[in-house]
Amino acid sequence: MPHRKLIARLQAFSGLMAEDRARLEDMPHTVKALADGEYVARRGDRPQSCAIVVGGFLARQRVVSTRNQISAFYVPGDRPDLHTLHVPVLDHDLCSIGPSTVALVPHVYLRQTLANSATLTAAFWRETLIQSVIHREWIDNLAARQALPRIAHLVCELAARLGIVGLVKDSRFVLPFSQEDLADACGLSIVHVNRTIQELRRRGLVDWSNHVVEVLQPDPLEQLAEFSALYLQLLKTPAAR
Amino acid sequence: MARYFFDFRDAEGFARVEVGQDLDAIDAVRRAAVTAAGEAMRDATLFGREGHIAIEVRDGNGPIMTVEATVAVKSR
Repeated sequence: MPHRKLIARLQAFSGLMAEDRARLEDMPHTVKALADGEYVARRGDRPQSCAIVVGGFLARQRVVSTRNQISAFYVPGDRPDLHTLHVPVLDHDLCSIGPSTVALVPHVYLRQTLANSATLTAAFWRETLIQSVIHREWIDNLAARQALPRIAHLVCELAARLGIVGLVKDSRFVLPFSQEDLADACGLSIVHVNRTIQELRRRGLVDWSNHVVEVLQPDPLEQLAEFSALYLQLLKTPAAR
Repeated sequence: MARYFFDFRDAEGFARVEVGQDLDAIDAVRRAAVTAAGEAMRDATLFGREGHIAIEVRDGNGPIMTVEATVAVKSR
């Protein structure tokens, strides 16, 4: 069962019952390995299945004016194109950042499963709400912050999201992003991103080398970023809190 | 393709960068420096502060160019 991170996520947020767990564990799926820069789906595609990130990272991106803009990162357990169940045409490219693995679950099976389980329907709905909360945070981050707190916020958010699915060990996590990926996500140039990351390191807030990030001082980093993980936790059901 | 380093200078001092960027034409270097100078200036002026910054570009052999930006108020 490659999508155990998804089940862990839903368990953490929605408190699944045994039969819903079984439904998720039994989902028919195709596992696909992607190389860095390879696409799960392209803008204009009409996917017939939903992808679950099993390992690695995906980015949602498109070219705006002349530059590539990443508007979301997806971590293991996320379902970046869940909305294609209702909005059939993709409006962005879904691209692998570093090598990744996805499980593709047919729409037909998902529709049938959701029709049979109110709990799962609510859990899936909640997942899309979490994604839209994250999107709002990104808009605020891109529009209102200086480069330093902006990149700090992205680091805090990824640490929190990866922590939920057990991918942070001793305050460290793997982040296979290139300088260009970070620049594309933060609406900044590679030059400015480099300098800003160097400043975060100089202040002793993070260590960041060879695609491993270590948060050295979580509280000052979150203060700088005005970050609170609350927006990622708010949507937990009372049973899961 | 050559590696360029974009060091930064402002009122707080000089910051030598450790990570370089590979670029294939001097015009790409100029554009990267101009864009970065604009972004640094946006950071400085976001809260209404005036300022002066400079991006000093070097390659393996030494300095290549400097791009400067200033926002200064002259009251009349």
